Amino acid sequence: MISALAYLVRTSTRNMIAERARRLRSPRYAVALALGLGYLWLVYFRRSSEAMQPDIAPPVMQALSTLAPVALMFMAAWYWVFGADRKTLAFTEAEVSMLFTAPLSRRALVGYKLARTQVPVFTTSLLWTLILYRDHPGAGAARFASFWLVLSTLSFHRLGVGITRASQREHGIHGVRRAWLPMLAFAALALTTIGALVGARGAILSASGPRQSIAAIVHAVSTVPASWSLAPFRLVLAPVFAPLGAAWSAAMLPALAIFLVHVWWVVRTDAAFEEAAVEASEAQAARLEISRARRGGSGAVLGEQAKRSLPLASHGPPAWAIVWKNYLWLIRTGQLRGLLLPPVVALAAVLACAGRYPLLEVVLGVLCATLAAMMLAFGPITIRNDLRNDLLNLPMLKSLPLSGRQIVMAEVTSSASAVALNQFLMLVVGMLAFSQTDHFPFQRGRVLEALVMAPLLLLSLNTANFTIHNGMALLYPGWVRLGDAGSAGIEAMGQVMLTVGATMLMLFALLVLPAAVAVVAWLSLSWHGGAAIALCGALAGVMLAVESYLLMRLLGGALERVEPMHIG
Amino acid sequence: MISVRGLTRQYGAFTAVDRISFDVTPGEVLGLVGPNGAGKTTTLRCLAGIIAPSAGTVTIAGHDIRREPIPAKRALAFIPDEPHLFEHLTVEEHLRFVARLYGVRDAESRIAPLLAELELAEKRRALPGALSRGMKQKLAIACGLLHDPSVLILDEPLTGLDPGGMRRMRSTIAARARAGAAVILSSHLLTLVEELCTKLFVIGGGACVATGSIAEIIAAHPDLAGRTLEEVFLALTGSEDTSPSGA
Repeated sequence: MISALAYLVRTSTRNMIAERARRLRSPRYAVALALGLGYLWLVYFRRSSEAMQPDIAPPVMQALSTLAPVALMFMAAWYWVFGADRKTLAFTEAEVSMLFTAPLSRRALVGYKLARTQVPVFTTSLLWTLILYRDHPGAGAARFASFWLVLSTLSFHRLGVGITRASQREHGIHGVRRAWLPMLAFAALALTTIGALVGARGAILSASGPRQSIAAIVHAVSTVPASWSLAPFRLVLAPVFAPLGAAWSAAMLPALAIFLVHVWWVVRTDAAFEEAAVEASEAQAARLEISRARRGGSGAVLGEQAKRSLPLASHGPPAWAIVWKNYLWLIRTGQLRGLLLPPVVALAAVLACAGRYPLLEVVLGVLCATLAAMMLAFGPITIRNDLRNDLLNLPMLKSLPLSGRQIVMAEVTSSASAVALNQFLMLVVGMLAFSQTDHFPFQRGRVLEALVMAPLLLLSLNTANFTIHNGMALLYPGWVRLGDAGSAGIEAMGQVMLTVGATMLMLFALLVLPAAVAVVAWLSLSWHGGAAIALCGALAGVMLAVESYLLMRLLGGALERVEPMHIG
Repeated sequence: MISVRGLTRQYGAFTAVDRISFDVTPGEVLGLVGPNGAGKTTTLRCLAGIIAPSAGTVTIAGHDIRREPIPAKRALAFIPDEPHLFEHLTVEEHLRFVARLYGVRDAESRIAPLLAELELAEKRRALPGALSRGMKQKLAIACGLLHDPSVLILDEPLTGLDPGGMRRMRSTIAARARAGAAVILSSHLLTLVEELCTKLFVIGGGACVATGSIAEIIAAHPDLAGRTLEEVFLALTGSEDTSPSGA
């Protein structure tokens, strides 16, 4: 029986690698992989030898070795208290259908699940070793073993928590009895550390710079009782940070012991988890079904009922129905919340600071402005409630009584307006944060002017940006990923780089004329004072909007000509 | 109401539909039948404006589908064999979406009876993920019927429906035709075609094999007299099993 499961793991892994290799025959995947690998080499491999120099590393490594156990502890506490572990129990539909009905013990199923987790654990450990210790071949094996041990322990822990909590659900009060002690223990560990951080908040927030803030955090978690609560997690992570040689060997022993305890705990489990596993598997299957349905262009599935809706009158511009539909998508995928939450949280933080923590307010201001700027590049990668989603449903789209231009404009408006709203709110909150400090670099009147014309400029900028993204999907569907975001890996990273790079270049090209007009207007108007910034911004915004409109007209014609077979 | 003249569709060197012509007048139900790969779906997609013909014209309610696509599409409903639904819109929201697109002003008074007729009233707040295959098909049908189209194009409309649903769908198609709609029905269910269609268009290899009422087709092929529709179809499309065991 074990040999059959081993065969399944071995052949599945081999076929997955072969399939990925075959995919590289397509230029899109080959170029994306080359870009992804090039990026990794430039960012990590090339710099790794500098980054790990002993004279630079110690303070950073010391802070990391103190803070990493904190992260690990919070992760484990989260699994126990909030149960963010159900995905760990998920099997594929084929596994549920074939293995759950086969004469296999629960232990065999758990063993199989553990074996499956070793594939990503092994790959991640290898990647980290290659990235961080490329120039230290002698250290490679030891560091790989350290990473593997930490990740395996974490993976076994997740699975153990998943099974224990599933058993708790299936056995009611008896299950609660079985799980209450670790839940309380992990909650207590988390609260101890949170208490230490809250106690040190004055030192952390009033520090003169980020380095001093981090030093205050390190100090807070290094003192009793927080340091005691983090001791087991330091032991798990110790091999990663210990210098090679005797210190590393000494660090490995307790870490290995903790790992073996986890193996014993998980493998000997005979807790009933099948029902929860089937539920988790069904949820996973539903997600896959959505993805497949989108690829196949058929109607897809979400399950459940919709709780919130938006009103839509039955009369008015028909293309507005597409914007309405796409906003419902944003609401129901939680993406609208994701766009509105950061400015709301930042605003709450700024109001809470109320001018008392200038460093934090400057950090918040910079963070808000940075996030708003980053949304220009990464907003279109994540917010895809537009043509890139609907192209997978092209037959339906083409049978609607709308012109191609109307469809393209409605689709672009849906995503561009949502991202522009996020950026505007972030900028407002950022300016508010800056305005409470002495570091405010601009005249307040000018800032007000900028904020007045910001909605128009941001909307134009995002319309241009999303028009380019949608245009690429429409004209080069083989090169752009259609459907929602979701894939990971080096290829996916390369694909993102390719898309962001190409679209940014085109956006800069589109910006040349509006920027030139704005500069000329500024040179003519600035010495008049008054609302020169607002006027120049508005002029640039209108120019960009006109360019985008012309582009959307062209894309509308392309949409009318494109056929389902071109989308694939 | 529907006028097709010399419709041709090529994919590179391959001709999927080859110079076909037919008319469907108000109240008529045309059965488009043919073996797999005969060109039925390509024809229906050309009629619905999803793909462009390589040659020929398609006129829907007096509007050329290429030159005046919007008024043409406003007059028609295309119900494909695989329901194309939006995963994040509920049953009721699908109908509101369609109402806005087609400018159905009395949508409120139409939605409830339509949902009741198609047994979807209890599922009006459900997302497509919570619907069975048959219910998704019913929702696609409801979306097609909401704006009271004068041209109905149906591709295997009974797929996934339960016996009760099939019966209701048959009577709905008949009722729409009686009310003056021009209907094109593509199906492999020859009993359905025989029951509902006033004339047939048999397509094979992308070309017209036979057209007219069943009586007219048999009159043009006297050797098929006395045979069932299935036998007539198999003989016309060259699918008839002529081997000794099949004889």
